[in-house]
Amino acid sequence: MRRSPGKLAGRRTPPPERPTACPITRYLTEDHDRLDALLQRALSRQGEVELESFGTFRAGLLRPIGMEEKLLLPAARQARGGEVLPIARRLRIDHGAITSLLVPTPTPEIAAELRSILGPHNVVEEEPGGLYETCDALLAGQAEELVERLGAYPSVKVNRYQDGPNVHRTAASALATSARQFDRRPPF
Amino acid sequence: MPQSLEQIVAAYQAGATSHASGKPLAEGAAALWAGTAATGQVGTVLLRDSARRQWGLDVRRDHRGRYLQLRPIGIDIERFRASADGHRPAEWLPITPLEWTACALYAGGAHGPEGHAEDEELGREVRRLLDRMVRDAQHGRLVFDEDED
Repeated sequence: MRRSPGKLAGRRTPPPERPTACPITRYLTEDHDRLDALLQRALSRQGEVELESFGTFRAGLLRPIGMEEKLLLPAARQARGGEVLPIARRLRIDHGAITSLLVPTPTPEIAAELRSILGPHNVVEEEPGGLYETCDALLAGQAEELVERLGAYPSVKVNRYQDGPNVHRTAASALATSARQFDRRPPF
Repeated sequence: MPQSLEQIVAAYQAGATSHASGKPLAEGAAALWAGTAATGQVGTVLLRDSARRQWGLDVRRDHRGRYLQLRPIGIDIERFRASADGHRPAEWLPITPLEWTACALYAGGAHGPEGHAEDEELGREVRRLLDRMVRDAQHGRLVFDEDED
């Protein structure tokens, strides 16, 4: 067990600082919060993956990937006069690897591999100066309208789990394959 | 005798000028303590872990609660975050509020990138925490460790 935080830990904290002028950041970060809660619920029993929660997480995770690839990154590119964001390659490779790791029937080990990509990936998107803040700045006048389009983005239809020999089960192999695919046929 | 983390933070809270070990607190200790209640970016500092890898440590408090963001400097390791308020438990590392407060004291206020190294007791505990977080982040020990430690 972690040690008790002690009485110092219980002192009152000031009201939280909430972003108000960054609709894209707010919308997508709150979606990450919701997905994290689903993943936490799916992994709440040690050594098991609760499939119903994981299934909701899986479908829920594919939706923002679609939003970013189909709406957000193209809008940012357009706002930059056709120039792709420097971070787009990394995000595309991460998205490919994340999607690959959602293919097999989940195990705690596969979930850990998935989380090893998701953690740093979400930092890159959410941090000050990261993807979302950059898009809020680039799309300032259209950000609210874009958030409406994000909200209307349809749910992603998911296939059944597949567990064949060619399915990725580690972050390293999923990332390597995704990078190779990107470099072989750059999508932008 | 080295002070425990709780003793170190309590010395700041009590407005002491030195630890029970006789070693001094950081300069401007009272202001540093007051700064732990700030919102936004409470402080930022450069630290080296025990493998001599350099990290940027950002101490923040906002609508997500109290958290740390760690950025490797010049090395190919991923960034990660740690929450003292249980934010995103599946993705962020857990730390205690006391550990966050120690980082806020060490990185807070106006100082060089090395942080408040003049408080040896505080610096030792912050580096110990850094080592643990780096180890946990690299080994994916985020969810399945409730019965350990």
